[in-house]
Amino acid sequence: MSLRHRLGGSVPVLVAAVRNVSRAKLRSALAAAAILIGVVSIAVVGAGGEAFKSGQLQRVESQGATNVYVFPGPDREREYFTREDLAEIQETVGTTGVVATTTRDGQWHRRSDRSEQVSLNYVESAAALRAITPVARGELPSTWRRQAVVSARFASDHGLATGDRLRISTGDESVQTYRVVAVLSEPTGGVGSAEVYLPARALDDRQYDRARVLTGSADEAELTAALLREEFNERRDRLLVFELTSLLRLFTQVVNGINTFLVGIGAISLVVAGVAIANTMLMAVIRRREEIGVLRAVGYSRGAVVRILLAEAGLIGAAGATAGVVLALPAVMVANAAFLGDPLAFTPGAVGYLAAAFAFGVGISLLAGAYPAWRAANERPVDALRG
Amino acid sequence: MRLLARLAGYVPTVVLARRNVSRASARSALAVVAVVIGVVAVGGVGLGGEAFTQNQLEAYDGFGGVATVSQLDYPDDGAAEPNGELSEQEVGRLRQAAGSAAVIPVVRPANDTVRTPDGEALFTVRVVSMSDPSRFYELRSGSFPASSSRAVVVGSRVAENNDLAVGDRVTVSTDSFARSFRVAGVLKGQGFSDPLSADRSVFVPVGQFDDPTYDEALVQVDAQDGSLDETVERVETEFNGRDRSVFVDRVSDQRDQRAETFEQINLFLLGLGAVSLLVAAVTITNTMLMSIAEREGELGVLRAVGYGTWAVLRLVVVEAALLGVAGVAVGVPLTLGIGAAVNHALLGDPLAFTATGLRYVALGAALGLGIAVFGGLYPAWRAATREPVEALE
Repeated sequence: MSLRHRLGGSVPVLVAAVRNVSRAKLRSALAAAAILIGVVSIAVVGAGGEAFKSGQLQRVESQGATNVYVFPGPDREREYFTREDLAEIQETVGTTGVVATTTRDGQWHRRSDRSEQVSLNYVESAAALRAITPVARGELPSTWRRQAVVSARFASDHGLATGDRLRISTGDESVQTYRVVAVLSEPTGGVGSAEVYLPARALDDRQYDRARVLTGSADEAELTAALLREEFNERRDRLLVFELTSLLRLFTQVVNGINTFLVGIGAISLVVAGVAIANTMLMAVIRRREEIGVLRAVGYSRGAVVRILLAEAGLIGAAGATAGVVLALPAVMVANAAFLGDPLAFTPGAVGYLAAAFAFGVGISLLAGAYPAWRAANERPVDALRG
Repeated sequence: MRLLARLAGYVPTVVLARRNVSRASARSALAVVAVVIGVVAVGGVGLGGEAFTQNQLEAYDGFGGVATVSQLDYPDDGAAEPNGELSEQEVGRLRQAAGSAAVIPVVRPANDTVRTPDGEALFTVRVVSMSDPSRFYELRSGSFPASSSRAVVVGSRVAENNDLAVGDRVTVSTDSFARSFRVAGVLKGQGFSDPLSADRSVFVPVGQFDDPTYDEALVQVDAQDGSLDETVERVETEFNGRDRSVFVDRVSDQRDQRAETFEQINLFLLGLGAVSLLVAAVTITNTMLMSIAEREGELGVLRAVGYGTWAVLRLVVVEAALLGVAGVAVGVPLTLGIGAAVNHALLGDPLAFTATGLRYVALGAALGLGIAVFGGLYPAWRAATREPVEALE
């Protein structure tokens, strides 16, 4: 108790404010409730939107934001890459790895009388495949010849397991049999994903329709992409170069825009809450007209009176905003769990929105309290005391 | 004025309530402001969203009585090659089945590239070819070229993003040709709902293709000649009898789906805006609580001289309702003004209010009034159940 008094003694304005606010409990509580609702609506929308954005970004990044995708450009005489082309690309990007692949449509002969279409992806080597997609089950042989790797979805859709045989043909070629040796782990999808992965030596032409350059980070990917564009597309577009970094940036921009708009609509309620605070404070100063007159008469300056009243408004705002943030937390945690898989995975952006909601709640209370405070402070003490 | 006074005499509670409300004008005014903001938030979001929806759906305007016909990717019979193209013969069958309806085959050539005069390749731009695009689209500038001429019409985004204007030249290359074309016209903006994505397309005259392969066909029925439903029925019978081989999609269905999506988004935004009305309800409760606390003695007197519990309750609720009425009276015109501004900006006509949009405004008004009454209930109950003796002390 004495500690509280000593602490309070160092900020007398605050002590007076606490006392004054609690003199009209219901009125102050309702004003704080108004702020609370506004803060909750901003915090939940803002931080929830941030969680959604981060979740989406993580998904995209896990699907190869560190890769640069390279396709034959419209100005090339051939619509595919040969090994020489790939060597040229490798030379430009230096030490980073280049994985060339070819996608084809194939026929999977499940039974002698029935076949269905599958998407095939021919990859140079087992090491290259491991570099572009994680393998969940099974082991890839070091010399990859008559083995196939299937995507997790394809395996589960058709009940395939390692050891099963796939009879596959492409175009007019004869049917080849491959043994399933591994299943990829989810998530696959993303650029250049396929259902069945086969060794490139099964191709007779060794023509690649795409390549990807593996880099260490999204930023590095962007630099590598710029390097390739500069080297190959000076005058003519010999390569189509895509990296996800610029797409990610665009996506972030769009989501941020939408989120700001939604938070803006949510913020309207805080403006109304500001009106409630103004009303409450106006009531308070009218009720305490004489009291304030006395304070002024015994030597309180205008500034001191304004300070006392602003402290009251700020206190109501802070109480409402604190309760609002506390109430918003469970909702944001639900959003975190849904989008990021971890209720406690608060992103910096989400924390920023929570802080902004709090600050906005207190700020608007101070703003709303300004007019009543100014009005009270500017009344002549004599008039106020006369009643 | 006399008439008004006589009329008011019939509803003494309202007269009394009005007087009470105006006794604390600053406080009442602030409560009204809260309601106004809430009403404007709900109505404004509703009207704005409606205007945006209409703006986006304008893209469908030219597509009345139109259905798209495309080949199924995986036909049931398995015999036909699933190449996604309509053959010349299939287009013929389609014309036969469609009867008097117009059949407009659409070519989307493979490996299409469009280049600006500087040689920059525009990767997001698609090449489209169909006879008579003027059937569906209007031009912002220039004119539609003849079918045989070496000229193209470009979509609005293509023109804006690449500074193309009528008279400029673009190079279009496809599987079958690579030629330079003069830009003959620029289309009006269609928005992202457009069935053919015209904004991002370059329309090449059909005559440029020696041996066109059709990717889809548009069937357009003139409202006077028959109904689209009957035509679609005939096309379905012709192509999708035993095995399904084509996919027929009415553009109006696409439009309805899109409109539904927009409406759901709008309702979500509306809900968010309605939170402010909740806060306004709290403000009303607060205001009325202050009011009855101030008039404790007065209300005690009323009770003492024979006012019943219900009469006091009614008085305070009517006071709260009056705050709501005032808020709605200011808020609705304000909302309509904002709506008119948005309509003017998006649709070019300030008075382009739709029934749905006005319903949102009415919803805002009803909610504004409703929350005012609701917010007044607790203070009214408190005032009415107070013992007169205690109140008079």
